[in-house]
Order: sequence, then C-alpha cells, then structure tokens
Amino acid sequence: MKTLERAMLAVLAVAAGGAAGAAVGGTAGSLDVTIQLASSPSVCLSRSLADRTGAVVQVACPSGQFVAIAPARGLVGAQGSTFRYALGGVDAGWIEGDQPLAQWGTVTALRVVDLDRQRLPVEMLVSF
Amino acid sequence: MKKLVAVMMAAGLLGTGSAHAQSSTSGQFNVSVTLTSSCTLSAINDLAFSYTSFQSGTANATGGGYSVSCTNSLPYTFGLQSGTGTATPPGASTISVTDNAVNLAYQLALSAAGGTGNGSAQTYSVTGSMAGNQAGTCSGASCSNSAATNKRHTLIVNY
Repeated sequence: MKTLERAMLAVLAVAAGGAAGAAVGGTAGSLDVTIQLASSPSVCLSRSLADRTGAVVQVACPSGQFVAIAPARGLVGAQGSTFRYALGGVDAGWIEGDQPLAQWGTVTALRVVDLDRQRLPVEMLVSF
Repeated sequence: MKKLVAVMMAAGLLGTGSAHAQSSTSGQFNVSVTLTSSCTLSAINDLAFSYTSFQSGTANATGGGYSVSCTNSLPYTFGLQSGTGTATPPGASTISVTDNAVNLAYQLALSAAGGTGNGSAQTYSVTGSMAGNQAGTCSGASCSNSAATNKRHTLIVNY
C-alpha cells in the first residue's frame, strides 16, 4: 500500500534557492490518511428546502426517527409543506400573489414519528 | 676432528651470510575515500482517524510512524506535501486537507522538524488532528474515505 518513492532532489533543492551548500539530496515517501466517519446517534441530519413552497424536507436520524412536514388541515388550496401568512392589520390573512403586507411569515407543521411506534407522534406548528 | 668440522662449518656459514646481505626500502601511499552522504526512508504507516459527526473534541490520528537512517553527523529535515505530485523540497511543517469523500478537514504535522544522522534507524511520526464539531458527509450510519482521491500525501526528507 505504501509505495516508497525515491528521487534525488539535490538539483531541485539548489534550484529552489535553499541552503544549497548544505543540501546534499533528499528522499520522499507517501502515506495514506484513512478516515472512519460515524454519524452521531444524538444528531439528526437534514437537507431541506424549507424556504420554498412545496418544499420537501427530509430529516434522518440514526436512531430511526424522522421528521415529516405536511400541509396543515384547514388551509384550503395550500400546496407543499410551508405556508405564508400575514399578521395584524386590515390585510391580515394569507398572502395572495404579490400583495404587499407589512407583517408576514411562514408557518409549517412538523410531525416527528417514531418508526418503532413506541411513542405517539409529536406534532408541532412552527412559524418563522 | 669433529671440532675442526664444526669450526669450518661455522666459518662457511658466516661467509655465505656476508655475501648475500638483504636490504629494504619503503614507500607511502594514500587511500582516498569519497563518502556520499545519504538517508533512507522506511515505509510510512498510514494515519487513521475515527470520527463521530459533531463530536466535541479534537480527534487525533493513530499511525504515521516511520524511520530514517542517515549517514553519521548528517543533518536532515522533514517536510510535508499534499498529494502525490513530484516532491518539491523542502516541504511544509504542516498541511491542511479536506477529505473529498467524507468532507472532513484535518491537519498533518511532524513529530520533529529533523535531526542528525547516527548511522542507525531513527524513528519519527507524522501526526494528524481533526477539529471537533464537523458534520462530515455520510449517507449512512458510518462511512470511510476509501474513495477519496486526496487521501495520499508525501513526506520529504531533505539532507
């Protein structure tokens, strides 16, 4: 695995402008770096596109749990997994088109499911 | 009669010795020796990291040992170089690499900057450290960097 590469490097050393008077020669060898990466059992990794309407959010945990994002009930016509909303004022309500609203945000529903069905799902409504 | 013979033989011997006297002469010469100093480098043990995503502490690699045998009194230095391209002395004391398979950054260094040859194998090591709190990239519970194309590096011995 480890190939010993040898080369006389004296000329290179001189050309490099180093301590030419002291440099006699050189030799070189190579080594490999091996890495074993384990996912932390206490950390869930996700790759999300939560900033987009209709986003698919996937969160996987080594322990088996996953997070699913689904449309909330009662939001007729909504598509995807995140929903825009407005707060306060006479224009409060769901954004339609590019209608400007001063206070708005995004809401999404999360359901954390235990694949082993040992516990009931945990549901969260998150706004940001 | 016997005494006479003995005396004659003794005289004859003395006579022969005088006629063939040996002599000697001598010369001196030098022995010139040209010694080309050199070092030999052993195979280098691979470095191995074992890392858990987001671990809090630094991970230190195992392995990396090697030995150098150099001419007595010959000073030498070590250098590191990323990759396996043509060695360009003197190399660096440390190199930083991000593995392109598991996306973890690590740093390699030297246990010593160099030494002086003593005619015997002298042991050193390349050390490796990987900072904590890195995510890495792995689609399963564990991954190795066997497919990485930048996992091999070069150690240079300058003398």
